[in-house]
Amino acid sequence: MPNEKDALEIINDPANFTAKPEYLEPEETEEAAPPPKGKEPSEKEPGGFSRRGFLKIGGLTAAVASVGGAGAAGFAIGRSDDAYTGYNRTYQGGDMFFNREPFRTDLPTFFKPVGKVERPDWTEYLFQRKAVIMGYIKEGTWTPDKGLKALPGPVGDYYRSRPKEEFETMMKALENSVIRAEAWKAGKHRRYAIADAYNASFRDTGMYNRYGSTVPEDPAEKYEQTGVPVPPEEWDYRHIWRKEPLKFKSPKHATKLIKRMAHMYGMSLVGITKFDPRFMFKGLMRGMPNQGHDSWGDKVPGHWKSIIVFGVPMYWDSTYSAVGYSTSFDAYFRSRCASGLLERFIQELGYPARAQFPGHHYEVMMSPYVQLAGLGEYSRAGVVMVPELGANFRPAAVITDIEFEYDKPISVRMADFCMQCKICADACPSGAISKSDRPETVIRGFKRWRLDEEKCHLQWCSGPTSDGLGCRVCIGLCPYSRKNTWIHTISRELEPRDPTHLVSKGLLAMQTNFFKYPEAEEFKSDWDGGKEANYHKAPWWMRSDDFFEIERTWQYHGME
Amino acid sequence: MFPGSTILNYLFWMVMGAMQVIIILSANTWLKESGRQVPWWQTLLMYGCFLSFCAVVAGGFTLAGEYERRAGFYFIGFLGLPHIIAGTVMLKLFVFKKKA
Repeated sequence: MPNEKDALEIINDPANFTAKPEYLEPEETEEAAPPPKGKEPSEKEPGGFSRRGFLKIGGLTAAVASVGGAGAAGFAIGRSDDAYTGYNRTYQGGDMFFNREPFRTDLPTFFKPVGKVERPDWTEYLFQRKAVIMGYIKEGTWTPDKGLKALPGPVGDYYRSRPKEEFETMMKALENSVIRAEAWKAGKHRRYAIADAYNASFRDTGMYNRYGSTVPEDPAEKYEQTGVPVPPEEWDYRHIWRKEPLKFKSPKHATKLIKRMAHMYGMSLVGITKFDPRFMFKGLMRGMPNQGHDSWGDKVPGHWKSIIVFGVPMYWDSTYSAVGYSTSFDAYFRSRCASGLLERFIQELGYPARAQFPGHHYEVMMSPYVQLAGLGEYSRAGVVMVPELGANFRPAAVITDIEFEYDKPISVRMADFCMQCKICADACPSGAISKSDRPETVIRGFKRWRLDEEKCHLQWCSGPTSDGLGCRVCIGLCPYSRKNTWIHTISRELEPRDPTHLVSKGLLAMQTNFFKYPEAEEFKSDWDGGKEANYHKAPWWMRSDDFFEIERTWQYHGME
Repeated sequence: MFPGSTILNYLFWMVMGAMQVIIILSANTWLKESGRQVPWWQTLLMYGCFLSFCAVVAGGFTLAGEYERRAGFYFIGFLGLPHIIAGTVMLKLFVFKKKA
């Protein structure tokens, strides 16, 4: 075809141009005008919006939208339930996301003995003391009006060897328990109806079912039922049916499998350390007559070689709304179940195992083992803080004779932060937490911030709860007890790596100036001079007046 | 950002990325049109300041999302103001400078 032209030739051929109609005003286009100095001709399309115009306006709009998008994304991340560690990728071990390896050390912080290291006596365990006192009162052996002089047994000896204020505080706690119970009946049960039902479901079904079908099996219950002593050499082997234990290929393999199993049983964090008898109670062995108080002495079972420590957080929103809306039992229940399941798993493999679990089924102090297993560090409030959860960590353990590749302790400067930060001490409603800069009290050979456990317990007994078990204000307020969001991740990763300590100083300055906490007194029950304030207001699903025909006669105090 | 959605999160961040491209192209176009010469490192510095400001806003709102509204607004106020000042100074020094 000889006349064939391509499309561009046709368009550009002047013969094909049409004249501009006369009725149109001459248009001053950018093409017609001489370009200003430094400017290039615009690319405005006929009847449209120039590419440059779009870019200029679009760029400004995009900048504003980026700031808005950043804010929206930040808000969504902060509000997301996915940011709650421990309720997320638990079964894959994804909740244990902090890389501890750069921070491994030989000794946990403040773990260097400064005197003779002594094992704790069972009387140093407050709930063992309380159980004995309550037992006396129930039996009529002793009543508070008889006074400290007449208090019999090792518990009497314990209190007589201490400042008298400690015994007086315990008596005050018992008195307040009665007042608290009356206040509960009189009306508190309406305001805290959902919180208490949630608490009781774990406490009375998950942990202490009256028909005895709870996990784990407890040697103390076996002894109570049969009257036959069950020493650990018998109890810890009870489900073993193999003639020989399955031999692990190496301690490393044992560690890998058992840690994975702890995660599989729902545990957020797990660490393993050598069993250190220095932190085992004297005169305490479940399954023995009178819990071993009279007969066990300082024996250590020969097969207790390793201890697997693991745990979970309490639910975050309720912990932030301590005292009245919080509970320890949700975490206790989970870590306790895991200890029973792991105990059985290990026995099925042919090894002895013994669960140590909450509320009070221990032969050991948990805190030192949590530190030795490299999970966390000692804190001002006496609880162990872990990088992923802060102070919100409820551990359990299993003791066994399997040889593992042990974890080393970590030093992530959390305890250093505690030396500057006194937020928990300032907000503690009972004043139980030490405000001294450094740990100064020598307790059983180690320097410690002394937690006045009698005062702490007094607040437990005076809180607006049905059972008087717990306060948790220090845990909720701790700057480390935060969601796993990116800003906290930056803090968590930067702070232990900063040799100048400027990051921790900056973070503390922000924590004390930007955040608002109720005054210590305000956390107390209204009958105890407080306002029943919370750090955060009760979570929406715990506000009984929103769900039931309950007239609200109270104010919610705290951050929304 | 979008709980329960398996795709909206990705779309959101893709749009955020696309907006950064528009911002950079736009700045480039405007600078050319107005005949201003800004070295690449000064442009990068100004854009970094803008991104950092976005991060401050995101941080403040993250705290607000965590039911710490007060801390969030203080966070933006304390850290955002220096960004605005720094950004203004940089604009003055790098863009609206007196021509020699």
